[in-house]
Amino acid sequence: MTIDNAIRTAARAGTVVIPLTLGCVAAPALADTPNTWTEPEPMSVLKALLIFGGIPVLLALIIALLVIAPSLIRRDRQQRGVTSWTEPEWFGGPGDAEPAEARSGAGAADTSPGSSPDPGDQPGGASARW
Amino acid sequence: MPAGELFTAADRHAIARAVRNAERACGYDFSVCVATTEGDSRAYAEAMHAQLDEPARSVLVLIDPVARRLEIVTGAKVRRTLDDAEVGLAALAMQTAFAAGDFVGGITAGVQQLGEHARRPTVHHAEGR
Repeated sequence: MTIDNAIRTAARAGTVVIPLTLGCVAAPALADTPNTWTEPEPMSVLKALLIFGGIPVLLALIIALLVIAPSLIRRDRQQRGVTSWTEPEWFGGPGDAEPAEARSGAGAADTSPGSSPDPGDQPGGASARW
Repeated sequence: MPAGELFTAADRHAIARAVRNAERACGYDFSVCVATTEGDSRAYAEAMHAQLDEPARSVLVLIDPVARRLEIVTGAKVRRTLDDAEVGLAALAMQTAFAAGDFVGGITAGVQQLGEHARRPTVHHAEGR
């Protein structure tokens, strides 16, 4: 074992032993309430329970409610579902299309009368249910 | 939940904006229809798609909130840049949102995804080389 290793091991041991020794040996600090302070009335058990137990519990309940409420509302809406629907609602429906000049991309360059789809081309897409 | 309670005015505005943005992104026509379907929902959606102004250049998203069905129909020209697998991915995203009761989020996210996928990638190389 080299000297460096010995110093390192001693330093490691010291970091544990020295604080423990100081903690055990040190005399506890004693201080009495100054005479000029007014002596508070002793707190009743009920009042102590309300302050130290009731208020934290109340705060915890409020926080939990704030966290849970949105998901409860969402679940309620989801469970209710949609039971009826009378009128179809369109967004960008027939006759509602923007002029091609306002667009870019593949479709904008594809508006010429001669660029008709190949015969036999079928519509595609996908289906899903929830 | 009866009709009329599914969307607020702000929801309608958000969906209309998503449709506009998708159309501007790729140049195709997008239509979102929330309606009750009769019989085979796929056939119903394809019949609706055929009645659009330019079916070959159109994408129809049909949502039946009562039967819980989603149908996306793409025209023949649209399919050149937006294949069925990409449409399926958008449908999956919408389906997940709908199952969680989020119709507006599902529609806007799905339409946006369709618009982005339908955009033909820009060619950066020079012609004739």
